[in-house]
Amino acid sequence: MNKLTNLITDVRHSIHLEWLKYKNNTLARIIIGVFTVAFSFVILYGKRIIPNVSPPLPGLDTYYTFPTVWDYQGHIGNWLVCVLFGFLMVHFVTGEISAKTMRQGIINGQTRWDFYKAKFLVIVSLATYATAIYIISSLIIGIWHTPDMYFSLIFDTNNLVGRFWLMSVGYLTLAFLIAMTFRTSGISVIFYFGYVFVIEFIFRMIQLYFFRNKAILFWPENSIEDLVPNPLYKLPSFWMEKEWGFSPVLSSWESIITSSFYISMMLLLAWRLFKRRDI
Amino acid sequence: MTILSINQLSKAYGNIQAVDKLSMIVERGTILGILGPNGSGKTTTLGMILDVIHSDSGTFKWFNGEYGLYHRKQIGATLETPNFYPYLNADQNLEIVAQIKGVKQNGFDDILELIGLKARRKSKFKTYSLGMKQRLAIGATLIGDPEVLIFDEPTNGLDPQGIAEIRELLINLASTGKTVIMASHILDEVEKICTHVAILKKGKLLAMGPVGFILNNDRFAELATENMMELRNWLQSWIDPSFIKEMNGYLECKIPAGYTAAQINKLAFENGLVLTYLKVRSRKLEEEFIELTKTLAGDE
Repeated sequence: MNKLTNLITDVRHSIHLEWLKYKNNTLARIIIGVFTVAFSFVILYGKRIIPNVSPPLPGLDTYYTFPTVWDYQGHIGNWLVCVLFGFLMVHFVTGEISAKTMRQGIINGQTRWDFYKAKFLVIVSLATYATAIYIISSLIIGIWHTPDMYFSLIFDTNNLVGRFWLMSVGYLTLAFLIAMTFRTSGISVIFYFGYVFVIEFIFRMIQLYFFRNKAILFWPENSIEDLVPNPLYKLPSFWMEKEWGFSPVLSSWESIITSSFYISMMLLLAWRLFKRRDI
Repeated sequence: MTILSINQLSKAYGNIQAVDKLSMIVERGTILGILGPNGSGKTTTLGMILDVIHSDSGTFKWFNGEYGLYHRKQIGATLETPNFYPYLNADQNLEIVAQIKGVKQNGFDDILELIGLKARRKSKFKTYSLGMKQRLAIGATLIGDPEVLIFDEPTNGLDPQGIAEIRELLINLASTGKTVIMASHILDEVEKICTHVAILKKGKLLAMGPVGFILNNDRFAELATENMMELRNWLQSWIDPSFIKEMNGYLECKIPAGYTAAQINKLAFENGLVLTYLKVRSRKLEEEFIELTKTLAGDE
C-alpha cells in the first residue's frame, strides 16, 4: 500500500513538473490546438469535398456512421499523431537538450531515471489525450450521423480504442528515441519523418523484391501503423492477398504484439543511451 | 564534517586526459576556488561530481553518502552557462527548480530581491541580458537553502559592471557560512572570495590549500626614478639581480621580508635617488599560479 502511494505521489510529481515546463510553450499549445481541431473537422470537411462513390467502394455514409466511423477517425488520428505529436515529442526532448535544461534538471537533483520516467509519462499523457479526442470526436460524429443507433453498434470498436492508444505510444516512443539519439532538433525531425515516410518503406520494398513473404510487414513503423490501418485498404487487401498469398496489413493481434515488442525495445534503447551518455 | 571526497577521479576524451586521478576533500564551510587555465579540467571535474559527466575511473562521495541518490537536492549549482526554459519567466523557471528539489516555496520574492531581478520577474528568460541570466542562475542555486553552492565561471562573458555585481553577490553568499565551490580562471575573483584554492592544470591537481598558504609571503616593490640606470645599479647592489624585472616605465623587484615602502624610500634617498614612483605589494595569486604551473610543468 505504501509502495503504491509512493508510486502515485511520484507519478503526480513528475506529471506536475512536465506540466510546469510545457504549459506555456507556444508551439505545444499550437500543435495540440491544431490536433484537437483537425481531429474533429478533417472528416467533416471531407464530406463536403469528396464525391459519393458507387460500390464496391464504400459510400460516404460509412465515414460518419457507427461502427465504421471508428475506423475512419482512427485513420485520421493515425496521421495526426504521427505528424503533429511525433514532431511535438521531438521538440520537447531536443528542446531540453539544446537549452541544457535536461542537464540542469539532473544538476538540480533529478536522477536520470526521474528524467526518463517523466518523459515516458509525457508520452503516455499525449497518447491518452489523443485517444480521448479520438473517442469524443468519433462519438460526436457517429451520434450526429447514424440514424438508428443502439449500444452495441456504437461500441463495436474491435479494440480500436486500445489499439489507437498503443499506436500513439508507438509513434511518440519512436520520436523520443530518435530525439534522444540525434539530440539536435533539425536532424531528429528529418530522421523521424524520413524514417516514418521513406526509409522503412525503402527497406521493405527491397525486402519485398527479394523475399515476397509476410516478414515485410513486421517492421517497426509498419506494425505501429497497422494498429489502426487505413480502412480503405480492405478492398485492395482482398486482391493482394490472392496475388501474394498474405494480407498487406497485419491482423490486430499481430500488430499489437509486434508494436508492443518494438515499443519496449525502443524504450529500453533510449534508456540505455541516456544512462550511458554524458549530458 | 567532510562535504565532498573525491578519490582518483579520471576522465579522458579520446587522447585528451581531461581529469587525471584527481583526489581532494572539501570540508563544511570551505569556500573553495578551483583555479586553472581553460582546458585544465575544472568544468569536467564539476560535471562529474554533479553526475552529468561519467568518470572513467575513480569515485566521489557527497555528504558521506547521507542523502543517497538525491544528494544533489542539497546542492545548488550552475555549470558553464545559465540553463533555463527560454519561453518561461523568472518565477516560472524558479518554480521548476523548486519542484525538482521537492521544495514547497511560497513565492521567490527574497531570492529575486537578492539577485536584483524582482522588476523583471515576469519577463521571459530569453529576453534577459547575460548578466541577468547569470544572476537568475545564481538565484536558482539558492532554492531550498542548500548546504553547498557550486559556481562554474560565474562572471564569464559579463561586462565590468556585471562582473562587479556578480562578485558582490558571491561575496555575500560566501559570508553566509555555506560551503562554496567555485571554478574560475580569474585569479583575482578567487583571491577575493575564497578561503581555499585548488590549482588544476591538464587535469591534474597541482596544489590545494588555504589561499594564504598557497600565496607565499613574498613582497614586491615597483619603483621608478628619473635615472633608471642608477636605480637598477642600486637595486642590484642590494637585491639578487634575478629578482629584478624591467617593466613598462618602472622596475619590479622582490624585496627582503620586513621592508616597508617608507624604509625603501629612505634607503633610495640615502643612495642619492629620488623615487618618482613607489609601490609595495604582496605577490599576486596570478604570479603564484603562473609560477606554480611552470614549476610543476617542468617536473613532468
